[in-house]
Amino acid sequence: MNLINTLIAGVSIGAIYSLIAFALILVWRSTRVVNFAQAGQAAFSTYVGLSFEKAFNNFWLALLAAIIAGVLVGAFVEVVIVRFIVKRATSAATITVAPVIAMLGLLGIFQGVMGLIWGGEYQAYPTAFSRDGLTINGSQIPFSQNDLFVLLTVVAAMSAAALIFQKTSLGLAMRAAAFAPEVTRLSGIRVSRIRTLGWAFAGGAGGLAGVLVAPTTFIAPNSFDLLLVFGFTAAVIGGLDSLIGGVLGGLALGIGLSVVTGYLGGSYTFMTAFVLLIVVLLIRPQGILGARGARRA
Amino acid sequence: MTLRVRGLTIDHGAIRAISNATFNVPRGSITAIIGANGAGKSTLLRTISGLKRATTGSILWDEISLEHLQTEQIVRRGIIHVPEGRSVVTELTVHENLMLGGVWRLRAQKEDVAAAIEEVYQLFPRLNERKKQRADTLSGGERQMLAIGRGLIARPQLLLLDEPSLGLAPLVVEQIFHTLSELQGKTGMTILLVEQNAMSALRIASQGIVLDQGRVVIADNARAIMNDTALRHAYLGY
Repeated sequence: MNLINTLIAGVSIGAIYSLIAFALILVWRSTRVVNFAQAGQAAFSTYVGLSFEKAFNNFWLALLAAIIAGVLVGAFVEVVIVRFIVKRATSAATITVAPVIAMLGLLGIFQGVMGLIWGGEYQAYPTAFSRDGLTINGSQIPFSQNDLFVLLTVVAAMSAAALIFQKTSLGLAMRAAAFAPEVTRLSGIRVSRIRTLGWAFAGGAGGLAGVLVAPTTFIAPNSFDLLLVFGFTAAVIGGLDSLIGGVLGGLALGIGLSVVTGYLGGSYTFMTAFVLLIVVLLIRPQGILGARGARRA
Repeated sequence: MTLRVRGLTIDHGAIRAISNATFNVPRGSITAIIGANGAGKSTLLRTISGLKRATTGSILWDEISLEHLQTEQIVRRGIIHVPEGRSVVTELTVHENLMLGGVWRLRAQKEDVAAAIEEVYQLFPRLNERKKQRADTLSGGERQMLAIGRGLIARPQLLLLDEPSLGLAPLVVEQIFHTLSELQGKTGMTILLVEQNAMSALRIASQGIVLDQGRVVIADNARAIMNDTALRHAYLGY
């Protein structure tokens, strides 16, 4: 296996890590909560997609259903749970700890509910495109039609997000609310709605990521836990506050892990993600593109 | 339109920040609220703009009571609060910070928001020169100009300014106060100015309110307060 092939093999999974990192960063920016329940939200949305797939036998309808389910679940979690925890947790210790524990608890609840509805066993998720490696100049490369579809879909989703953030007043309000909620409120913007929207967007990204990754990982109530770990690593590499940083972090992680798996073997993959995370935290704790200095909460 | 504050009491947990305050802020003038650090000045402004809730008492603007409204609704009634600490969004550009001040009325009044931004650029030409720069690259004085500019985009009828002179060089303070005074004369808006820098504030104000440990001790003509030596010694420390 040559180096170029190894690099290519990491791109599409890296794009999916980017999407999860994007979702985690969006939530972090809007409410300063690390959303460990994202794995549960994404799996739940993917199950909704799978149900549509089984009922209507249409991949695209299922994809749309999963994204919409992700949006609704994300908004629901913010409005029903997060808002109250953030409001009640006012002392220095509880501000950081309470949301984390609550989100871990919520992940457990999601997984329990999914087990009750859809069962605990792994189920296959179909793809719209071939997963056989493409053939270039007579030799097969580890990059399929489906990988291309995943990559293009993530690029399209990220471009749409970038356009919203940079070019619309909603995006301006979301960026302002992320960094200076009080000034944003004093500018007449309903910051609580902006927060709900952040969670909704993140949920939609999670649903999309779930449908894109499920053909590879299969779907079970806890099948996205590892994805969450990698997405979180990518987000931290990127600096947690920077959406572009998270996307780059995801791609770097996907490619890096692919190289390690290709040359050292799959048993090193998981460990490498954490080594990478620790190295970044030691050398550049603000991440690749994170702001310098401590950020005000 | 007058701002009427009646029997206002505000608590910070167990600490009473404002105690039974009653005063009027007459329309179309500058009123300065002065007093030492910790006198409750900022808390008062935060309560008027709906960031904090009063324990008892009422705040009336245009005969509408504000104390149960959300900050966003208070903004829509023409009351704009520029909090202390040159509060801008450092991660956004100068132009984006100004845009932010107009997002809430962008759909209905797009042209007027653009016009208001142009006016701020004329008022503070330094902001125009730096419009594409991130706000964290600005000097302290420029940041304060931007914070005030962001407030002006809403075309406020009542502008609440918290310590605009804090940490700025005397020359910059003078320039900002001069601009404010001119602006007030031109637009006829009402300005409620909270300041530790009593001299500078009283010089441009027509009315002064002295707060001491959460109580209104004097509400009088600004010139009268400036000329009252005993009062200055007792409450303003100069």
